[in-house]
Amino acid sequence: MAENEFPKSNLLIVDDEQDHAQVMCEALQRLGHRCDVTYSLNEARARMERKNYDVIVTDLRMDHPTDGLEVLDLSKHAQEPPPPVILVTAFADIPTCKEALNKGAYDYITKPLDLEYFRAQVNRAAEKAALQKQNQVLREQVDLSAGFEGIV
Amino acid sequence: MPLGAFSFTTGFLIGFGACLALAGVGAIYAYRRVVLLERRTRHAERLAELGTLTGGLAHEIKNPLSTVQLNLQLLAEDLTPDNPAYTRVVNRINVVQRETSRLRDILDDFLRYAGKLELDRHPTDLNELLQDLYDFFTPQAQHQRVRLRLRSNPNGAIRAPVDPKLIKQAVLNLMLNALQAMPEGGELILGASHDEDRACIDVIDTGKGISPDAIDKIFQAYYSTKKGGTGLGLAMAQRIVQEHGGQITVKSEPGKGTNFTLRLPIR
Repeated sequence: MAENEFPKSNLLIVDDEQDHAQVMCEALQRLGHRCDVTYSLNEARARMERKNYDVIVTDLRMDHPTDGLEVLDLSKHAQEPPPPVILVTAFADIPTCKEALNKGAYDYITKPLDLEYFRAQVNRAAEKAALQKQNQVLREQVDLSAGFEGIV
Repeated sequence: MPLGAFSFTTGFLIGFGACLALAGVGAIYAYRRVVLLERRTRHAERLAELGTLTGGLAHEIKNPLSTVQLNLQLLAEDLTPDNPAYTRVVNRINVVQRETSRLRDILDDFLRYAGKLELDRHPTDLNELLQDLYDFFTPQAQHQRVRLRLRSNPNGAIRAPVDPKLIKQAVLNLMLNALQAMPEGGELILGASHDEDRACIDVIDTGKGISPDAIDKIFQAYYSTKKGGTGLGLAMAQRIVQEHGGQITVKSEPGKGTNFTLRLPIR
């Protein structure tokens, strides 16, 4: 895939700073992504129960200092394969960010965000999500054909 | 009254009095010490509280700053050259973007200065450390017509248990400061040496020097905010050296130049 080609994806944006959530959303929509915006952990939970997302972008600190980690945990149980989660944080809290990476976060980006870097990271995550899905489909096809061979 | 009894009673009283006086002096000393320690603890607590507050404030500013920066970048995307005000608006946006970047740098520098420094010490040859800095800094020095020299040490390696990244940062801050002191060019000399039980790094410039009334204040945070700087370069250098258990001293002669010396424990 060329560098400027990336899958147009379904994204979930979670940030209690509403203006910041909106501007992140617009920055990604302009690239062709579809975004849902939520402003709290609870709203994010409700959205994830109803819909699958390709990538989730979440603030780390919202009502509680580690709400972003909760979003990460929820994403693992919401769908298979779990979507890449990018954490954004004004607090370059290295131990928490390391913990997030150990728990499977795709990356973390510190505020103030640079538009170009932010978009590049989301696009790469979208690409990863697309490859994961493709792998899953192929595996299912292989399993299916192996199943038929057994029958024949 | 027999002489012996007098001597015994007097001796006893003198001895008792002396003990009492000693105990009194001891008690006063202990009391003063407790008061001093309490005052120091309160001061340290206040500093820690202030550090947490200002750190929190600096982080909180990053949220609106991020919103401003992203909105500006999206605004810039919206503009097309066929718009009659294109050049004017782009220029204005560029100015605000530069200022938001400056704010971000000021906050990052402040957070590094106010935050906790974790030292990753290992035995380091300070000659090698200076050689790395020499290689890194030469192009920048040449660009400003400053001749960079590395004073070789005839006694071989100068080893000290330091965090090389942080010490490099401290020396680099001094070198940048020296460069700013030589706008017309000059000479910048780096050297490592031993001084009794200390390892020393000298950063010497032939710049305009520091006036005697300013020399006591140059390590204060935000004492000087030169163009393009954040006013924390020397304060940060001092903090790094002090965290290592060392000292940083400065000698300067206005019109001739300045010599900064970092003294670091070798054990």
